[in-house]
Amino acid sequence: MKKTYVLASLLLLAPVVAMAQEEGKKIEGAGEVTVGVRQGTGDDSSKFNKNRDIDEGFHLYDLWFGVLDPQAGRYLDFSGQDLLKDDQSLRFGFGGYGSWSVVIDRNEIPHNLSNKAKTPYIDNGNGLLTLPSTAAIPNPDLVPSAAQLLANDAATATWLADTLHSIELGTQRDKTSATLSLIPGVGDFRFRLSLSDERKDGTNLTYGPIGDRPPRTLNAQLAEPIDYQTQELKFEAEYIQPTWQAMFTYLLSGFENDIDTMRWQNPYTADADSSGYDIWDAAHHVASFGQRSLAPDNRYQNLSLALGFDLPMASRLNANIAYGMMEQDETLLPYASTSFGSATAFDSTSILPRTEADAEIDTLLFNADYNINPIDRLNLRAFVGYYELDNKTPQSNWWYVTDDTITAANAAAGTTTYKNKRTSLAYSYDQMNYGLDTSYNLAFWRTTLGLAYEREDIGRDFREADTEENIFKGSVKTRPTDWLTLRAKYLYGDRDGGDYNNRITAESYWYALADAGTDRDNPKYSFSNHPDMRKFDVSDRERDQFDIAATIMPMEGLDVTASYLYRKDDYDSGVVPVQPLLALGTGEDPADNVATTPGDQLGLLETKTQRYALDAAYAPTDRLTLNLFGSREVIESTQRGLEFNENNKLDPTDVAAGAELGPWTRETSQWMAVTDDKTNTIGLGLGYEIIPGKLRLATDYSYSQGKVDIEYSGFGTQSSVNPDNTLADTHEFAFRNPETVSHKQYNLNATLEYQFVKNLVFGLHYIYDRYKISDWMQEANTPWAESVGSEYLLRDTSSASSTQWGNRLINLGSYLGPSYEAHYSAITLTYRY
Amino acid sequence: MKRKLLKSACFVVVGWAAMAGAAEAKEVDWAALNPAFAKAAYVKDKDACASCHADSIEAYKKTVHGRTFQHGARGPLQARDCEACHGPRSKHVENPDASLKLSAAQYSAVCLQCHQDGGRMHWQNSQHKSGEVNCTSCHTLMKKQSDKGLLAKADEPSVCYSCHANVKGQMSKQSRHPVKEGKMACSSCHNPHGSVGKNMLKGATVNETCFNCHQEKRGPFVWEHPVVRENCANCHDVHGSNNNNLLNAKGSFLCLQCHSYGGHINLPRYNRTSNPYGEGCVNCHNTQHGSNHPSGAKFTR
Repeated sequence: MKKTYVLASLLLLAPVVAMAQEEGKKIEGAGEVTVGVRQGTGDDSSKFNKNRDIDEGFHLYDLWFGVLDPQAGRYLDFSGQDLLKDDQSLRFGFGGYGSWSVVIDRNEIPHNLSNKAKTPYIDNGNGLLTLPSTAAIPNPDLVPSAAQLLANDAATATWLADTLHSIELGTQRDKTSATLSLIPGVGDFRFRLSLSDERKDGTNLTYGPIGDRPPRTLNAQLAEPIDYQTQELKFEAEYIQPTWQAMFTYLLSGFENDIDTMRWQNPYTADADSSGYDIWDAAHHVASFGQRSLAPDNRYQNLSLALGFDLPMASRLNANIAYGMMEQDETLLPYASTSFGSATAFDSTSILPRTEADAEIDTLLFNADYNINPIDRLNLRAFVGYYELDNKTPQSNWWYVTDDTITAANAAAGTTTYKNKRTSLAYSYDQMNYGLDTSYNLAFWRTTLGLAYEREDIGRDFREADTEENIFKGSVKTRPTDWLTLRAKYLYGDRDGGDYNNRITAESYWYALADAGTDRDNPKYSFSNHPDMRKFDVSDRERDQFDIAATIMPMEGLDVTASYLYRKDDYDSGVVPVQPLLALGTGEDPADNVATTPGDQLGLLETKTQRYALDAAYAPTDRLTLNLFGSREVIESTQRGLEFNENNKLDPTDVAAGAELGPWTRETSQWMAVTDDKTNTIGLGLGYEIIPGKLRLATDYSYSQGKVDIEYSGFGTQSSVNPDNTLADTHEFAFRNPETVSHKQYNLNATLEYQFVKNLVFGLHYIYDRYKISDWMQEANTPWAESVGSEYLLRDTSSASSTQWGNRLINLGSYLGPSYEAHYSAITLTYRY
Repeated sequence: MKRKLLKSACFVVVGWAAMAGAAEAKEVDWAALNPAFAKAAYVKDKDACASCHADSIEAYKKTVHGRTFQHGARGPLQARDCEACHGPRSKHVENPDASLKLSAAQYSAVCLQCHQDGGRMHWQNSQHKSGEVNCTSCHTLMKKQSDKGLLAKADEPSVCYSCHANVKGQMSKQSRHPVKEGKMACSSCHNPHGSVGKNMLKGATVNETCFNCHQEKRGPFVWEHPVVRENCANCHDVHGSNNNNLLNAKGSFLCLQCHSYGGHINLPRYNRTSNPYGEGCVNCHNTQHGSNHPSGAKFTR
């Protein structure tokens, strides 16, 4: 296929060659081709070639040529990089200067995720993943004893050893586009028509949980088949006058997924009678297949009109209006892959409130921006913007099956648990921004002072809060000398989340109070999230941001820029202790109705970001260039959580005092995590003409180090019952500071080029690339996770006391993109004509 | 309230737009830019320029700009060739000194004679313009330095990083878009010439920008995850992250910034779930971008 694209591109040049041969035509041409041989080692990690295709052998690195007919003003260009490789890009263009052009682009991007992954699943095509056999576990029971579950683990590990096989994980994205541009007549009108076809296929990492709730979830990491196609048409028409311009744009984008559904076999059910499910422990009906819908086909259209006017007093007005429509009408799957033997057809779409998604979101954008210099040295910019996202998807009441499993009682009754009565909400929002920017040029040091105010109001349907934010900005830029420029900016933002409605989730349930019976986890008539939680994107927020930068050019050829940014987001929303059941009156007894939260805000509390950067370029002579780059980023975020037993939402006072999994009122159940995320990067570069015009050396080195440390304290590290007691790593809730996550990347490139005749350049190239990763979440054995038999089966280290299926994970392997150290060298020959 | 403000803004736009006809023609007033141009006349002789600037003109001829002027010039402005951008040069020919030199900001006004169109329509009101970035800050007209866009450096990220050095550091993180590999550029998401979106984004919002490439996440879905629908950046740092999938926080810690339902949803480790390994909560809640499954209320289907 790659050869086809390259050959087709070259064939397109035939008419031009013919044209060039016409008698009397004076055609100018130029071109360049680079070929070479590359050898190397160490590319056995997918991470090395994550988004590129470097390997050994003969390569066509670059090819470009252009032809120009100077009499007619027509041209043709072709360029290609990394031809015939998975990351090749091609561009073919022709046209008449200043009047018309056609550009055809082809861009291919690999996204390699793993070449060491293993799975027991066989991809049968069309989203069907089956197993050669199922794990013959001795205890097919969703609520087994610890010993039974350990025996199941051993059987699963043995089965995996027999069934695992290697698979490639990753995708390839190939996009072809063609753009025709036309400027007819005197140039008042301009038209542009673009068509594109983009295909993405391969596999992506996903999961296939089966089970009616977390303790009873059978889970496996899967390779999700990807087969996407996106086709787009974009038409732009411009009308350009000296004092005003208009541009109309229409975009039609259609996305199609050739695989609508993924079905994966349950590794643990035998389904001897081919009924589509097994009955475990006489209490649970577990499907033999899980299924879920993959990314649905969808269509997007957008119409926009942009206007720009030059007005009196050298002012300028820009205005835009755009209307967008996102539509998706995929046929829905049934609630489950099987009826579970129930009279209710859970495996049929006939019991759904509707059988097609019928989803639509319309967007409206209006934006106006006016800029004027009313008096000398003063610039004013006023702006207003409105964006509305209107979700027109019908709201429906669903009664769903959790992950293809229901209880035997519900199967017999032909129903599911009352909490699965859920309403799909048509979440919408609208946003208004307006404000004024002013800047004033002072008479000394070419200094500019800036002041700005912006207001942002966001109204939301079915969310906890609307927000209103006042943003103030101040800036100064000055050039005290020709070689020094200083900039400083300060921003203060005060966002108000108003009355935070933590009961908004109740609108997504449609059961009656009586349906809950004696269940004390009753989210509609208690709360869903803990009342002290504030979601950071809709909470109060105070933002302080300060950044400074200096550009220094102390001598000819030396250019240094240094910058520093500090930003602090404080999400303190004034949370106080509340009695969430008091107004509802749903507490089991009076003491529960007055039960009070600790009143310490939960969720993200604060984020501090600091960024330092230095960039220097020095060219002491025409033959030598040096550059240096360095940056440091530190992001510190603080969050708080509170563990509680959801089965005691309505009766917190009934939780036993000695139970680690305490009530939502218990302050000692809180935990804190401070994440310290640091990145240091340095880079050096050198270019040297050893023999001017003949021999040239170019080399660069970069090093990047990323570290994530999490300082964890509170419940998990210590007991909630007695905070003086620490919890052992094998305790079911235990957690403590994890090992530092570390990523180190070293990269050296060196090129020596020798031009031994006018049109021929000989090149020697060397790449050193090293990546080192340490990540506790990708380890097979940590204080919290252990491998069983191999890295492909993980479980929680509390296995000795655990009866939980949910913490078992059949997986594709640890470190799917592991550390590597690669050396590559190449010899190239470049011919220019 | 917002609708009222919107209507008021529309009236203001229409009112001001009606005055567009009263404005002056667009061709730059050279004398206003630099009084030294006051008595200068157009030479209209490219050879006169070439007699001193032959090397520059030879390099310029190979640029798209040079070729367009040479082979496809339109209208009287472009027909002036060198003087279309450098102004009337008779005084310079008489006395070739630097008195007709223009500042970078003044050259931007010159460029706008032709380039206040299409993707540059918002330049005058853009953050770059107000930050005193000029056309020549990023573009070199007289010599081909880049394959596309007449850029001042060989590739687009190098141009942007010369001011946005901190982004260069972010783009070196282990999880990032393929900018380093040359498969994307800053202009894949941003319009440096100004846009209607915040942060000079090409789309009206962050999400509309992301959906240009991630069409499979566009939906809409039967079950929407509101925080996702509003802003991808609530969970992702698009310039790079030390966490997988450009996430703002590690594994379950990201979800726990908003979710505290009780039981397994409140801790980074709880023995009912596999969340301390794999991808955390996503091990089970893997349709977090939105679900089209009737049983997808909790994004496990």
